Amino acid sequence: MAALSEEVLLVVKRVRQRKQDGTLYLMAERIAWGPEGKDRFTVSHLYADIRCQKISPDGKAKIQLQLVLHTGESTNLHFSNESTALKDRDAAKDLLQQLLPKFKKRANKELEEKNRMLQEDPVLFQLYKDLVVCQVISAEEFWANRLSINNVDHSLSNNKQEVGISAAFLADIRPQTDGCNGLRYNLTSDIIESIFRTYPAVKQKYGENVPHNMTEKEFWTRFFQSHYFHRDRINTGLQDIFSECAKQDEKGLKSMVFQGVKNPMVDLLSLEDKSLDEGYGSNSTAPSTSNTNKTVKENSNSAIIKRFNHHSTMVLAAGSGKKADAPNGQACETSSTDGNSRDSDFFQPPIKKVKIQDVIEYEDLHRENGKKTVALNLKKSDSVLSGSALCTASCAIAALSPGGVLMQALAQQAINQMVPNDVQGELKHLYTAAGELLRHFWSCFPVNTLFLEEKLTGHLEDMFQMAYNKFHAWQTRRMMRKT
Amino acid sequence: MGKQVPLPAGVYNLDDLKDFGRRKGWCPYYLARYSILHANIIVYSYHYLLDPKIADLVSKELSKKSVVVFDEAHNIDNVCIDSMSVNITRRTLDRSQANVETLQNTILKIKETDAAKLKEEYRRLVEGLKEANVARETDIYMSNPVLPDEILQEAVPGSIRTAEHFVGFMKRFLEYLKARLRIHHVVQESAPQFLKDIFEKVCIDRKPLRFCAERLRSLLRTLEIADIADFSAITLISNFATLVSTYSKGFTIIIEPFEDRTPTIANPVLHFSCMDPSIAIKPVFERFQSVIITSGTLSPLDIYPRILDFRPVTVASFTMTLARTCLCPLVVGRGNDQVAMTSKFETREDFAVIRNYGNLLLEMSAIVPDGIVAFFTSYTYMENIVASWYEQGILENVQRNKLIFIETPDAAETSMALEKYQEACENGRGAILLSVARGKVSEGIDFVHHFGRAVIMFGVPYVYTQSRILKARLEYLRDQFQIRENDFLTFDAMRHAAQCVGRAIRGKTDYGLMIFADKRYARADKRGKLPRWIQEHLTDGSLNLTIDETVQLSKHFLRQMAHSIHDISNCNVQCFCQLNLSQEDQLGLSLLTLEQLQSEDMLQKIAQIAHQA
Repeated sequence: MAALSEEVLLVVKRVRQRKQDGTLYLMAERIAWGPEGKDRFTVSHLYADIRCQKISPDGKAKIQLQLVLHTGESTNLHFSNESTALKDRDAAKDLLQQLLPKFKKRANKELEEKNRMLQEDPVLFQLYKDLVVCQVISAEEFWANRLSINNVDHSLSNNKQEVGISAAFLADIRPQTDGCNGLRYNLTSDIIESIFRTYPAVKQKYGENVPHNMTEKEFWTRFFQSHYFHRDRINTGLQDIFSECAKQDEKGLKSMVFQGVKNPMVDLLSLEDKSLDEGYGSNSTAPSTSNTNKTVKENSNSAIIKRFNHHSTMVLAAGSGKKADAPNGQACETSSTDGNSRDSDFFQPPIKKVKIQDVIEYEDLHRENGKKTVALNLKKSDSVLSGSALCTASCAIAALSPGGVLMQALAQQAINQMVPNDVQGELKHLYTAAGELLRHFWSCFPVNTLFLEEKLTGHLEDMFQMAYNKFHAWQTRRMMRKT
Repeated sequence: MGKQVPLPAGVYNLDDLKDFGRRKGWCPYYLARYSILHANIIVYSYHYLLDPKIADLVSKELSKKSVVVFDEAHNIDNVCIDSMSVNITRRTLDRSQANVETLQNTILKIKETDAAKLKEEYRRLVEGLKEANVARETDIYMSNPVLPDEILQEAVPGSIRTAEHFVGFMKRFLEYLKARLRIHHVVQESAPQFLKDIFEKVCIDRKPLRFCAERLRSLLRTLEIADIADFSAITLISNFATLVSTYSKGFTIIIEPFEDRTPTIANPVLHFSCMDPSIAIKPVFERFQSVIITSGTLSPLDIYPRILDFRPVTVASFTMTLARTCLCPLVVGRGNDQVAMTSKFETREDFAVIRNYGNLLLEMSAIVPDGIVAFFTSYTYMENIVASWYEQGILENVQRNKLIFIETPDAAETSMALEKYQEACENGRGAILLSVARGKVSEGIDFVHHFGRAVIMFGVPYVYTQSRILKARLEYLRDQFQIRENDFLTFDAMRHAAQCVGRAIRGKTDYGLMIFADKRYARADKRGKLPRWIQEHLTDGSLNLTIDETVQLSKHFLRQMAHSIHDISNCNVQCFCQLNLSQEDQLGLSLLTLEQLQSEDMLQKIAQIAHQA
């Protein structure tokens, strides 16, 4: 048996595949299944080939595991051991869950990369079709030239832009009544991820409590019951595990506020014009904002406002990939370095200056490319001032300015409007294909290796011939259609 | 030292000045004050000219021929009033009491060591305030409304001439004020009534009261007290004494034992409130040859000469020259359910109105790119609306489109929200800022370009009309200037509304929607009070719209504006690049050359035309 040399991690018996009973083997590098009583595997997938696994929902009669391959094919495995089916499946699932990510990284990156490039760049894809599929040049040659670009792209693709968080992710969790005085919340891993990224305090709580103190389900149940989730309630209960989160949020918000803002143009504290001394002015006694004389309703209203600000800030921070610097008290560290703190006089002016410069500068007021104007030689300058001529002149100018009557008729009939779109498209493909060939051609110079010489004299010439033929064919076809 | 050193070019702001002062070892404050006398152009806050306390230090030596330009002057009446109004609380009185005691001790000490000094002061006071009078008559200085003309001709009255007597006098005055603050109901009286009462109760005459401010200043000078800031409370009281005894008209005294919102907590305040802005601005009109009052939202124009009491030489209202119609004012009057949208007091808590406001915000958040700024009429109103929007789930839906930031009463918190708002606009997420008309944001922050593609004004931002000070002012306006209460309130509301919506357009390359969400904006009396440059673009077709119609018009406008002015014709890909207004695109065609313009007879002709017009 071929598998003998391999390390077998898990064996699950009584697994059906295509209505055949058999045994499932999870090995170090692949997953395999063999029908009962036979000595070979009819199904065998390298972990690297597997894109993902799917499981049947809880409560379904058939307990299944589906393996989806990169190629798009899938294999269904049915766990049929009545008593332990669920346990078997979960064991297999968990093991796979650990194994698959390891192999994912080792998967054929190059192929994927090429695939991705073709998918993301329609022009390249067309070029590929024109040159490789039509066998003008070979696939290797096609890619050989792009290898360098490929490498650059590679580093870019590694830190691909992270997808931000929808601001309304909490709204997406629509509670449904289950008919007996309860609510059902549907959580997806995306939503949980969003919650964790936006509210690190909740994540921390999760880490602390799950699974030692409570189950995952219990945790989320409590979350949705908490005052924390319902922003309009003011949290008073101390037994609520999320009351601490609220406090941390508050603290985070405060430290952010304390840090102040970088942009002096929006710093209301510095904009405030306190030219009136205390006691002067018509309404210097501002309404007191102390909490003592506020009703509960007003309090909860301002709590909502605060939390909306906080929520938006956190979503923004999570989205921009920055570590949300609020809750952990590290906020104070940053202040000294980025010139953000209020007392650091030495950092502020440059930022301020740049900002002010930015505001007062108008690009179009720069003189450099001022066109030389032609002086208008007026014969009767008096009539200009008298008004009638001025009026007609301004009418003429109005008609000649963009949007004016005369300008509409004059709008340029560009060539791209005269040639139908499909012709343009085809022509463009031919053009880019020819350009690519020329690139190959010129990249052969200087001819200093035998390989290059061969390429030049040998098949490059053929290629050009082929490209020319193609163009010619297209041209005649168009001519035919026209006549 | 007498050496004159020119201020180097490039020192243009406070930071530069601080830096320069640090290098030279000069005090930047006095450096700035000194350079005012030598500057060709001075740019400073109104208060330096209108507030007599500051103007006396900073601006009184400005030449008569100076041209004064009040820019952004739409609020000038309020600045005038603020600079002449005084509020006295218990705390002020307590601090004054402490001040008086310090003065007394200092006087005693000085008497032991340097009695001659006090005698010298006494002699000076007998001679009267001649110096100041000479200065004023010879027109060297601008006059000070706190220092009325009459007292300059007289000597300081005997009852407050010696330092001890003056301190005793102030003590008596303070006791009287304390007694007045011990009341349980609201009192409103005029200045003469107040003077009569004070004479009856503690035998304080009008005359010494008028000299209070000047006498205190003299005393502080004589005692060589360096830290004048410590004596701000007693200075405030003395200013009040002088003002109340000088002006029998234009001021009112309101004593409130508690705040209206909290009737159980005693917090008595004496408001000495100026109702006539012309008092503070009068010296400026009298002194300077040309005074120009200008603003983008000075509308209607004719009300300003009336409330500031002057006769304008020229009045002109200009439209805006735009490269394209980059603003789009729309008046939304109804929801899609045809329920009228208004922040009128009777209906503002109406469920349907709040819902419709919410729907408007929701719809706009879906179609407007980047930033939207929304203004509410007051903070409490915003709080209520936000709470009910939250309950109705409207905000959740808005969040699908944009992030939400909200102004709070705390300036630091609001600054942070503002910065995050800009960050969200900058990185393409888009955001909504909910804010308050008359708040800090509406006055001081610009929302250029993508920071504000639409401004929504929820309701008409009327001032809180229940305040007694406002009521007194309205009464005064009606009696003195024949301005009807309603006219003034509408005028005030509309200038604030215009301020708010004007935040969106800060330049010719900018564009933005201005949405007035209240059916009352469609009425002629409101519409007519908007600045001309907004009115011009407010056609009959953009009045009393439903939300759906608003969305359609907005979509159309935004699509048009998003196009570049240049039609990039040889590019096959449709190009939605940033608006590019280069200089050549905007240059008009001049019918005259520069030489022609500058020629002698042309200048004459222009002058002629100007005279005809």
